[in-house]
Amino acid sequence: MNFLLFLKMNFSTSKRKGRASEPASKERAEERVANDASMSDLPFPILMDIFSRLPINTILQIRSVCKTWFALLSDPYFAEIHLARAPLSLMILTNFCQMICSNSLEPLYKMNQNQKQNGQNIPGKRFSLLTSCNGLLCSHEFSYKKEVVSICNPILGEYLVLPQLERNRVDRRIRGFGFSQSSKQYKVIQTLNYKNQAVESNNFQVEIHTIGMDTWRNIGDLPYQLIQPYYGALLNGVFHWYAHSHDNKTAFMCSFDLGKEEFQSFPGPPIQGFGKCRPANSISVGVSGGFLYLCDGFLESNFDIWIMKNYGVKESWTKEFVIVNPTISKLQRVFGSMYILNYRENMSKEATEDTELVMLLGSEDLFAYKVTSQAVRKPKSTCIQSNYQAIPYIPSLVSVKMLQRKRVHWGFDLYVTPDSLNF
Amino acid sequence: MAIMYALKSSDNEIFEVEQKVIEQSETIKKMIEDGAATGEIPLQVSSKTLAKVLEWCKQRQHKTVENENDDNKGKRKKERDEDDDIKEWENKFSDELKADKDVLFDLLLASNYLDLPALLSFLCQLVADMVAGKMPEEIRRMFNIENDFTPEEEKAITAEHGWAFQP
Repeated sequence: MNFLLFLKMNFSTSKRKGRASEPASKERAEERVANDASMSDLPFPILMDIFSRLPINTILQIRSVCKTWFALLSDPYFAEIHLARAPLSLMILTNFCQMICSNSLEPLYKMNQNQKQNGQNIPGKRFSLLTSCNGLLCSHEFSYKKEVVSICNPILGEYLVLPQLERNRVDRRIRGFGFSQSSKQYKVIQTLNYKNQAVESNNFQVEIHTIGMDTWRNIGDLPYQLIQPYYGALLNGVFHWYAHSHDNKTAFMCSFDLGKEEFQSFPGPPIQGFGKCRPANSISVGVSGGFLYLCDGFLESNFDIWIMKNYGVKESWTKEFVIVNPTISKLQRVFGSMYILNYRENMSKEATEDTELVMLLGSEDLFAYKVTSQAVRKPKSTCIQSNYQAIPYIPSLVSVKMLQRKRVHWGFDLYVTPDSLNF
Repeated sequence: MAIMYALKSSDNEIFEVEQKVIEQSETIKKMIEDGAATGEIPLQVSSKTLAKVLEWCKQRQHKTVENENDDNKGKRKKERDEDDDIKEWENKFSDELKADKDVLFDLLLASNYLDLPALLSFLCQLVADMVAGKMPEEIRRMFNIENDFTPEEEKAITAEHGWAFQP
């Protein structure tokens, strides 16, 4: 790391005088006619725009092209614009390897377990993936004496361990990991149940940990039972759940704003009898392609996928897919949670015979469903035939280390073209 | 009769262009709106590059006009044919730029300066596609970039994440 810093400092003193940091000026334009064209002459914002379109393995490779590129590609601001373009993928964990798959089930990258060195990868040997946000994985390691929850970026090989709990004899559950745009912070939410207390059921406490801080903050009682999904479905800095009242009499949707740190009820879809409590495995809530969805598998014959077309507007819930496939219906009832990985706006309206909805049931059953023919396809890769754990994940360059300290600002102004902001 | 504007390149060549075509450039559109576009409009863009810029703008203009004249009937097939035409045109445009990187980089600067977001985005994607999957040495050669790392530094960077991915 010292080496990295050295390069950055070296760069910021010497190179800022260089041509590349000057705006496109008349002199430069004329000078360029005489010289050979070099990509180094392009202004930083254009270079960043170009780099942000590259796959992550190319980015890691081309950092050694020259010092300017290295500095640009290591900049936290670049991590942000890259993330905005990066496609949703899957992190897959098998007994032998970790791998990243595209959301159309094509394997992208593979890391073999024996290549893990010096603890640079996900920490610990026996861990499970909980949830992920912006390329950071929240993982859980359970051993005889302690329980460790950590946040890592497997691509950069960086991780941090969340503060341990003082009291061990509690039922502790991580219920979400997300990023709040408004507060620019990553936060983890957990619920705790102190088992030794008299009334058990209504006694869940909610605690928040802001990444980079040292503690968990208690924010009071959990107002309802969070039924589905297990880890809050994150959209616009807000977690969403299907919830039941503590007395199991009413069902509804709720949200938790990571900036305000408040629970609220949230408009649910117009499904008949939605207010009555149902088994957790008959409903799935999630986010795909920037839309909130709810899968209703209450009827055994089929299940319906509802999409909230305008965020927060109750009337905009639309039943977009009705899936009549006994295999999927059965699997949904086994696993409960269902992730849709590749929804995009107007997907059913514009569907052709090749349109596929890629779904992950539980964390181990991955398949693509042809929207028109209702046929089901399994991933081809031999590596993920059986015994794997998968979670939706975006490979990113978001640095865990940067979250722990104040952001470093470079001495130049960056801007993004309107096009690249349009994500 | 369409309103015409005269654009003057940095090497003093005059280009006569329809307002509708050149208004795609936010920079020029603003000049026109502000009434600053009287007589010749001097631009810091060489004639060779400006010709390319206008080639792009005319193609885009062509596309929007046709779409406006479409009636809904049979639109899908027509749209598909048009998409093929545009693809073909864009491929030819890209190939020419790939062969002449001077123009490519100049065009990138010009699209930035003239505020042509669609062209800028198209070109950034073009360069990204050229870079993707290439090794550093190839890229340096291709884009005329000087390696200012010492061999030790370069080795250290490569080693840092070298183990992480197997395509």
